[in-house]
Amino acid sequence: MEIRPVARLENIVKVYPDGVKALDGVSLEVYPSEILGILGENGAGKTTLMRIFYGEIKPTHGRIYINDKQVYFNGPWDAIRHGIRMIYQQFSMVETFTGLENIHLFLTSMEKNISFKETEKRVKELLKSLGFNIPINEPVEDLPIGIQQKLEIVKALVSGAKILILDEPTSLLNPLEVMDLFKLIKRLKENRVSVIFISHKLREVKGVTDRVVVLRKGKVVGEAKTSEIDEASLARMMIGNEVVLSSRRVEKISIQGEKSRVLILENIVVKSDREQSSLKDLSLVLFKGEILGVAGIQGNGQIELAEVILGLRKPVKGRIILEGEDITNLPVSERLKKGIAYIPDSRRHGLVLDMDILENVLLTNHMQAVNRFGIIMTRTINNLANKVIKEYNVIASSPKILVKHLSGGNQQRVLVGRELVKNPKVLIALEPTQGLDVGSTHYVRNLLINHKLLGGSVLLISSDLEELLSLSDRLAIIYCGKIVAEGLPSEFSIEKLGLCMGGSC
Amino acid sequence: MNLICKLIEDIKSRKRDYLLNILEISISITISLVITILLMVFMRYSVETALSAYSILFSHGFTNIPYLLTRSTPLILTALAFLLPSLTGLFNIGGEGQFYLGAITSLVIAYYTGSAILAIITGGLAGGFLGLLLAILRVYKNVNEVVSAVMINRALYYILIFIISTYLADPIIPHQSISVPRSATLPIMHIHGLRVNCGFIVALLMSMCVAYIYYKTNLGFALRASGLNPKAAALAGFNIKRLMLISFIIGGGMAGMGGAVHVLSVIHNIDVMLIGLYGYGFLGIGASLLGRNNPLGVIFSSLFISGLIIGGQWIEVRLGLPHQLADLIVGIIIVSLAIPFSYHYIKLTLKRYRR
Repeated sequence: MEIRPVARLENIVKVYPDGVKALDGVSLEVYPSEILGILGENGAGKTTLMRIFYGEIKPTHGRIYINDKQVYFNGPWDAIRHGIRMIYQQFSMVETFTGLENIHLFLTSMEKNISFKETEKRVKELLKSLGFNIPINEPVEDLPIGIQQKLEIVKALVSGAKILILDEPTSLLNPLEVMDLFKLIKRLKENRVSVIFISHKLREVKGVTDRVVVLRKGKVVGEAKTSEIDEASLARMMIGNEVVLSSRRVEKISIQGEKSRVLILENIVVKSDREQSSLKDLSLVLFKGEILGVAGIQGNGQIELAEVILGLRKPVKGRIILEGEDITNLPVSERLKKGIAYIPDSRRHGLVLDMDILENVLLTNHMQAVNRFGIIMTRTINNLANKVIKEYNVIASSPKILVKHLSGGNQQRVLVGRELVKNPKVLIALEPTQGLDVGSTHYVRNLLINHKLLGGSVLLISSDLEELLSLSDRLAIIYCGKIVAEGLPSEFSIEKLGLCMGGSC
Repeated sequence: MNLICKLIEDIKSRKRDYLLNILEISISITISLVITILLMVFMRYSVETALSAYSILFSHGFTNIPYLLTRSTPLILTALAFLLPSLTGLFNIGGEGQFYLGAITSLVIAYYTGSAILAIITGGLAGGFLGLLLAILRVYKNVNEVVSAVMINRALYYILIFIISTYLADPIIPHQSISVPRSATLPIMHIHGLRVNCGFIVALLMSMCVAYIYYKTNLGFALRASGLNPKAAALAGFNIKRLMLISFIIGGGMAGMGGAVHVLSVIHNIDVMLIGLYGYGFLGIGASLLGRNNPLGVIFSSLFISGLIIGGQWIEVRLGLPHQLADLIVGIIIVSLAIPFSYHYIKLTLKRYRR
């Protein structure tokens, strides 16, 4: 007998108001009691697709069928009525309530007259049938994050979930909790619940799912039974073959002596609120006059890496050495003085939009433009601001123009220019071309190369592989807060890149 | 000369922002005057009475210049007390308490030392200390500064009444405190035949100092940057927590100094119900908002509000209307100042909704 899919998404297209095509004709089927993996890089459209499925956003085109009947979702509540539940990375629970109270709260939104006893009975029955034991009478805030996640799942099941969407569920968990979660997911399958498992981690997708759909740039590029495909071919599908190999340079770096090491990170451990992005015993060396690319899927510790070098985060363990000097315990301002510069991933983080260009240039150059009484030297800063505008082609009639009135590309030029103008020894660039048009992207990349040729070192942290392959002299790959591979860009095949970024190398 | 040229250039390059500010302020003043007339008509006063009330308000309120200057002095300083923390993104509602504490400290110091300068400085320090206390609670214990300030204001009010009536009471007139000795009172200066209270000069100097710190020094720059975008300020190596503390210390110091100046130049002693001190701290918040959080704009807004209050007293004398009318006008002005904000807010939510 042919098995009918419980849900079918047909030809979903989503174009965001700013013209970005997030999904381009995606079709997807979900079968009863199967674990479906959705694999893809950042920006592949995984989350957009699932948010459409959950009714949070409306597709531009496309149809959704549940049990062969077409449905229209005006909001998540419609999806919930059809038995779809989504579990986010941030949990939606009242932290001071107990688990049971939270479940009761959710149930009352669906069944007005349900009594607390009835809820308790149902939860206990469910836990029994799953064979799991969760402390349901403790305040949620006291529970470890893995248990909280299980509570979310229980909440969804008690209220009659047929399809459960888990958005990167393992990013918050430590390895033991991940094992536990997988056990639970497999139990769910026996209870005739379909699970959609969104992830970029190859091993987990391979380990837990029955079927896998690979998305890239808003399209389905592959679909297979998990048992019939290996991690390497999944990696190839996820990354794609379009990454231009010709842009790679094969030049050999001369053998680096001890002296030319500019920045050394030794066994850095940083605690973050997410397990996945905590740095675990990370070591890295940056040589003089090179661009070291750090590749990885967002949320694997990139921001933490940048911020620990800058000094915004204090490492629990480990040392940071800049030109032979231990800077582990120095505050941010001292490190900036010593020649570290940082281009943050978002202009909103780096620029004060309500201040003018001059003041934004002053923001990271205040060490040079302030005399010893703490008074701003107007002429110095004026010259500096004009230099930034002129040398980095910022289109602005005067340095007194508020930054919020500039275009995105111009803002980025201010952001990059004000760091390069002080000729830093170490430049940390976190996603420096994110959200820029082609011209500005090209311009910013050239600036980075120029800085390298002038003898500066650049730590380029990016999720754009093309950018990394065309700019970096060396490449390091970060996964779950660890450097899992390091080498010349030419040593990495597409397959290897994908495997490493997915944590399987 | 050079300085003035630069200032003009600066104003020209930001013409749009300045004009927008002036427009917002004049719109809100107009709205407030219109609403007040409507209220008066609603309360069965004739339109003629209402209009003559306005003519008295503006003619009598702003004609007695020496009184106007004296009246606005504490207001300028308490407005600065609100303004400094608000530029770093914090609300200093504690201006009232800091004003009280500055006043009583300077009274005691003036009584025992007879030095006006020392009294002003200690008054400022006392206010700054209270500000620091609020900031420490906020920064290290995460206690909302508005809540703690309101409670401390209230507590201080009664503590002061207790201190004045038990330890500082004047032996001859028991319902007021001992007086500031003659040697410690602030003198009145004559500038081109205009009687100017020395306290006003102090307030003027302070607002200029604050303006200088804010626009010309690294500290002021750091404070402004951390108010507008804490993340960017942290990335630039500024210590946000320390900046919060500093802004509260300076702000509290301003309010304390306001109290000191008020005691030393105007009231000379504090009555047991604190009637001579009451309200300046709260009114300062309004003056700061009307001055659009500009250290120099605060001078004008304080003068304007003081004028309205003086005029309000004349309305009562001449027409028998309640003098609270002036408070009403000030209140509506401040509420309607929020209209442009709400406009931005509505525009933003509409945009988000369309998505």
